[in-house]
Amino acid sequence: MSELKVTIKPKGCKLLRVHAQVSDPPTLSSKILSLTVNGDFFAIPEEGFEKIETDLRGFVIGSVGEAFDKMATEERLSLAGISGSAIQEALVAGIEALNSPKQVTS
Amino acid sequence: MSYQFRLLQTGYADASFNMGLDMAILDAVASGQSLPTLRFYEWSPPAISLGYFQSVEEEVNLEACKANGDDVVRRVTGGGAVFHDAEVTYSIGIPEDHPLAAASIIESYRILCQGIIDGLRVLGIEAQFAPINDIVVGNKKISGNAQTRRKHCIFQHGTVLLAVKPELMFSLLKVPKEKSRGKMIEDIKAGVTSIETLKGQALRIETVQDALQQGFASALGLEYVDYNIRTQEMKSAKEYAANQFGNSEWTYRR
Repeated sequence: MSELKVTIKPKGCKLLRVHAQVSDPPTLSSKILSLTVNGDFFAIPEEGFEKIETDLRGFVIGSVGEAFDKMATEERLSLAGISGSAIQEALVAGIEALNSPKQVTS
Repeated sequence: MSYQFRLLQTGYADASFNMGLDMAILDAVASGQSLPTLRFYEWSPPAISLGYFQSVEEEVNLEACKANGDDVVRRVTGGGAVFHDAEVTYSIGIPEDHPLAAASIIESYRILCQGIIDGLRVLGIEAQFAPINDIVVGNKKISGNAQTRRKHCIFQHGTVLLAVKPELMFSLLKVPKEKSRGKMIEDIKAGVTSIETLKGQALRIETVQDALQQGFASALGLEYVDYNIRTQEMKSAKEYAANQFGNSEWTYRR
């Protein structure tokens, strides 16, 4: 299991702080084991957004954006400052950060 | 067209009670026991309120808040962390089937924020709505607003800045590690304004509240016909304060 912790401001969105646990190895095909999206965005009803955070468990990172948008429609969420693609962008950034070579300082 | 509204000025209270009373009012409006309501209130002690989806750990310098004697509370509305000190705070609750209720979030903000904009005009300040949820003068923010929909009601609360205190604010809020405190303070000074800055003098809270009342009345066609808070609402507010907003499980849930 790998942990992703990403702070990102996708274009057109509010600042998002995404925390996720994903299956190893961390790639676009990793499954979401847990997901929390914090930030100053709006999602109404708020409880519906929290349900989606839970329901996204088991989805692979590469499909999270589409899955989120579909669930948000089903839950009749009104969103402002957040989107499925923004969450996926954050997760992908987290994967890239995990897989990027560590800088070695002498 | 005018709409009968209740107008409340509930004065200073702590953060848990203030948020609890907002919820109690929402319940009363939702059940039809109270008219749609516009409320003005103040915070004592000053407080940080967090948006529904924010984390205390990520946003708040708890040690500084404690040392300063400030409250920390989680709102039922989204949006960002707010330092409630030198400001006028309002809330407005209307049923979703009210003529002033718009279906989309941003349109709804636009309609309700017009009350603030007209109120600022009473004070000689020309402001504009800045989607999603801000009001600006020029390119500087003077008011932030946050909205939710519960129990078939639209509920919005927000603030109008009387003065800007970025140094104090950023001693209480955490600064993203990629930014320096000094840069954040500079950003606030560049991007935020206040009534004191614009008018060149501090105005009394009552003066600003009066202007905003007039602004809401003119912009939304409100006719204030009730000025009373119900006993049941006060009881309910205290229960919300004790069981939800003053409860650490709620505050630290994210």
